[in-house]
Amino acid sequence: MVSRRQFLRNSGLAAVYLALPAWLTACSRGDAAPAAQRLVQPEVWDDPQPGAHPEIVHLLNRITYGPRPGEVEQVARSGWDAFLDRQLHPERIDDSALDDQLKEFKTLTMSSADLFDAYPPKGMPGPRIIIQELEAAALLRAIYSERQLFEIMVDFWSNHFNIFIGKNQVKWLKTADDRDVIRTHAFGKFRDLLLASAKSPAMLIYLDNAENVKPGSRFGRKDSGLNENYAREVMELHTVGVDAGYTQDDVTTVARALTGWTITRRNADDAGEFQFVPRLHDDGEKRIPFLDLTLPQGGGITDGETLLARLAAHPGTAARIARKLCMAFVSDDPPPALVARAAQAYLDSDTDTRATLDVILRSDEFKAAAGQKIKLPLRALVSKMRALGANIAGDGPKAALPLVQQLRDIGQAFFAWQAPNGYPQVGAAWVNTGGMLGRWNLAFALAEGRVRGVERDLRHFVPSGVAAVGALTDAVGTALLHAPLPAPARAALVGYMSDGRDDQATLDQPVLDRKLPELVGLILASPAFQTH
Amino acid sequence: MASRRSFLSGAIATMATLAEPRWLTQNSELRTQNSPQARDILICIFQRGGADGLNVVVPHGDKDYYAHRSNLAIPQPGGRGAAIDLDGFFGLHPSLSALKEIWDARQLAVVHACGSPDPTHSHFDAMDYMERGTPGQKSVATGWLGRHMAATHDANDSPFRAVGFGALLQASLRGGAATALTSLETFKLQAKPLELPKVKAAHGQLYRGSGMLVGAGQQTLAALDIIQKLNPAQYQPSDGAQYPDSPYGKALRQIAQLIKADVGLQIACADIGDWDTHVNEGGAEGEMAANLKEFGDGLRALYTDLSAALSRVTIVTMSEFGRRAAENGGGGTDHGHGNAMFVLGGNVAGGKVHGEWPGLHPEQLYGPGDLQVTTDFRDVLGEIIAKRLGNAALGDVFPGYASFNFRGLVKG
Repeated sequence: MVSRRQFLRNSGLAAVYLALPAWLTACSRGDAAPAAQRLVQPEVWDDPQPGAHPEIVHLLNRITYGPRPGEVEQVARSGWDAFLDRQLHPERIDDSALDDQLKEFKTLTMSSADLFDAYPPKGMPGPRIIIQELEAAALLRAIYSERQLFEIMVDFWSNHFNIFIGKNQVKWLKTADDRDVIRTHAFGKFRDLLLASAKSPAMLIYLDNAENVKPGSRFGRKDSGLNENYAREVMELHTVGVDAGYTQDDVTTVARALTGWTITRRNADDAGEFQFVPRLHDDGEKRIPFLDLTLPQGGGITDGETLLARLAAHPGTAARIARKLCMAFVSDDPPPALVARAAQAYLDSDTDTRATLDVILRSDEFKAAAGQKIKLPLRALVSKMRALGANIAGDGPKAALPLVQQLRDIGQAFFAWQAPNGYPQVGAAWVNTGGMLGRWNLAFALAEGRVRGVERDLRHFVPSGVAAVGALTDAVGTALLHAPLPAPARAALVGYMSDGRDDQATLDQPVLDRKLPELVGLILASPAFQTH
Repeated sequence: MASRRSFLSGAIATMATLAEPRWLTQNSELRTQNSPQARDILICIFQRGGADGLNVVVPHGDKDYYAHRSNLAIPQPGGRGAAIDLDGFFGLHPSLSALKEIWDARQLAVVHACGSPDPTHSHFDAMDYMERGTPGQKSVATGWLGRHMAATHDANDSPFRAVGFGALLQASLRGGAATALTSLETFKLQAKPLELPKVKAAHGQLYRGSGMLVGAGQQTLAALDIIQKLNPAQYQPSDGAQYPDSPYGKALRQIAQLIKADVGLQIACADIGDWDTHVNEGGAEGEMAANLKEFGDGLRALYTDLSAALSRVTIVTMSEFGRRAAENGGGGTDHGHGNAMFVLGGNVAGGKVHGEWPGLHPEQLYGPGDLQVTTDFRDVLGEIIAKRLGNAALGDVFPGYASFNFRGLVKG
């Protein structure tokens, strides 16, 4: 295979060595990496057919966070079906390059008890480090994981089961939730994910169910009683939805069923773990008419477990999850027929996420939906990084912090949405003046190399032997958009590059060096790059 | 009638040499005349999470209040941490001391037991209904402010005619071509300085055409040009006004700046969160008290900063619902119903708590134990729209609501 040095020579670059992206580095180590990792081949840069493989481009724009340089051609060689199959089975994909990088992030694998010990609230450095590592890891995974569909689903479920990391003890507890609830069950059964979330200490604190106890039982020093917050949100947001026909009485009954679901104390050896406390549980009989469910007296923890299983399997839940998935992958207003088929697949497969995704992603409706979605800020940032083939210099969580700050600046920081409904998932919610300006400025910051720690080499986009402004603009446009530039856009860009001359004009090297980042920024900020 | 699109395409064509826009001149004329077309600037502040109105404007004269809240109740006037008396029956939470002067100057009015007739206790539904202005209905896609703006817009509307502070535009502004802002100081296109003018020109050309995305881009470009002339970093609030150092405080400060800069601002929205006090609400002191201090101090700063313009400003506050009359077992309160709204400004019938107090005795409560709603929030907002914003066509602003019952909150 092509060594890094040969690659640089073949593509006609002057030899300024820069760290190459992790997915490329794996090749040069001579690892027995699977074919999907050997993405960069010299001939790719001279793709003579702008707009080739539109179905691959569309697939990559939906089940990954966006194509990397050369990736469209690579995936085209292995085929649409093969690539989708692979992404639907993340366990078959080698992600060791990224995993190795993340070993530096010690907190990711620590128990909540160990995190409490290592980062006490009033100590230095305090829980800030935990949050930094979790956010940095989430961003690095979105950009660099080979298991792209899996990472998209992790983000999907994180939003669905939204938890604000800033609330009280959640700072120490969200790491376990991310690892043991979301990432463990993202491609599994929804009923397992729901039950794990209901027992998640982070969720128990965030939505106050840890304080939901039988009225009159002594809990701490206060008299205490029912807290309905989680009961309401688990139905309204996590499962059946507000139109399912449940009443205020049902909410109260659900709260009763979930009493005593709490967490171990901070000074316990196993602090911050789920604990069912029988004396805090309301053990009376409970009737929930809209679920056609009666929980007999003395059910203990099975009250909640039975209830949650029933909610997971409810047709209302199927319809809502199916619709949300269709919105995520197809369009903001998905075809009802597809939603219905996806809901049926959800029910037929005993709430299986992978089976539901399979139906959606192989559908005609999915294939026909290219370009119909506006990128959310997270995708806008990650797709820019991937399109540039950009690398983050240095190891460890701190290296990624400037980029994490950029994500915060455009409004979609991980685990930072305070309300339980999660970030809005339709592009229209984000298309406003502040949002547009944020994306534009990010595009120019990345293109110009002004984001600390982010490295990119724009000369990858200049094919050897190309001197004329028109051909140059076409090459860069194709490399970033995988489609020909529309004529008015091309004219505007050629006008900029040639300072008002025409597309046969040629540029001296200093002028090219000055204008190339701006050309890349303009394309990344253009309407075409804001959609997928 | 010329459209907003014609303003924008005209604006882009002349972006390099933008002379004083006609909307600016027109607005100045609107202000200096005392004509029926003269409109107040409306500032809407939304307390997100269901603020506990019973502890914001305390019914200290109602003994049932104290029966419901043995831990959380604010003491009657005269003691430590006591309510600040307003009229012998109601008082302000002590953290709102900054508002007492405005009350005494009769430029702060309260409407209590106010809110939506819809029984929902869901934050998202309740906020949704209140911002759409259609309780119980989600079929109307626009917001009440968006519809008001669409009905009253001119040929030469400024891109800053309506502004919402925050990353996401408030739903009440949907349909009205509003601009979302977080910070005026960083509101500029940041590309390599040497190339910036040419980059901006090319960028503007890329955002030609139609559709939501391109339209938002064009509006952003027009807004950038206006802000460039403002010099936001140098802004000094008037009369020593001191805003809280928080996103809410910064939003209010920037609203004041935009108003005083005459950029054509007519509607501004800001949010303040953290009101969902299910646990550890605290009474006179604690989490909610701290939040209330920020809330009140921000209003006071805004009032002071805009003192010269108060005759043409109305400020209204709201929350999606109040909280239950009785405290819960976790030192907090659950979602409720009726709440308190504030109205401030130079033309407010202030120094009074408007509306009918329904009482807190068990049989006077609503649903599972909430304060009744005796004034529909649309009566409050509708009166402001009709009398201060010069738009009497309330049937469009609040479709499906026929029986407006103005309380005499504002003059006009």
